[in-house]
Amino acid sequence: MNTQNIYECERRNLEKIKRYFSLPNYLKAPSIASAAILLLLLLVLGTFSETDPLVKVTIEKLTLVALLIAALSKEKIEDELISKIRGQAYTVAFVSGVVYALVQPYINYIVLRFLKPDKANYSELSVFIILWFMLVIYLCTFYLLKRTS
Amino acid sequence: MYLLPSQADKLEMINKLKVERAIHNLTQEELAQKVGVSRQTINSIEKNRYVPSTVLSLKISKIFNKPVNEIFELEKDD
Repeated sequence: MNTQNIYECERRNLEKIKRYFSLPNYLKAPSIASAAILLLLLLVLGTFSETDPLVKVTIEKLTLVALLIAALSKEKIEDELISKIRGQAYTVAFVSGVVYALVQPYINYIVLRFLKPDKANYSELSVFIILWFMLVIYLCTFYLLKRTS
Repeated sequence: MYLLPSQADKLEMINKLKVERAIHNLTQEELAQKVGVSRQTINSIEKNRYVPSTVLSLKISKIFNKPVNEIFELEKDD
């Protein structure tokens, strides 16, 4: 197998993966509703300090799964305009996610230094917060571009 | 206009899709169904917000029975 054949094989495998990444349209509405309910539940549980961390982490992961299903669900008519919008939304979400992960901890620290100087300590963002931010940015950008195109 | 800048934005494409649609007495929805895209896509093309792919341009030209360059034209950005 020469280099060209390996490239061709890799390309075909990636094309196959891309096909598995699109889910049916009927999953979109239930997944968005589930994500909203789970997020609300997470906010409610956040107010109780005695919540089991395992329960909290599980709900966080379920929220991410629901958002991911919403992001991967196809539109009623999945044409080339939607593919273009999808690509642009992924780009915006990816870039803003990386910038957010890099910058936000410093902003949090600076704000804490002003508000509670005695309790101010630098901490990185959790994986849940970064992934949640990226998925929400993706969904918002996608719908904004879809509505305005 | 919220779409990110792309190569297509440097060269503006003008089209006579709306005129051709009127000549053939087709609605956006009917044309969209014929070429297998959404009505929104046809609307975006007509408003020069979206540059269609070669395949879609060829499908549209086949519907109107005209060469692609009679429906879609390049306009140099100045």
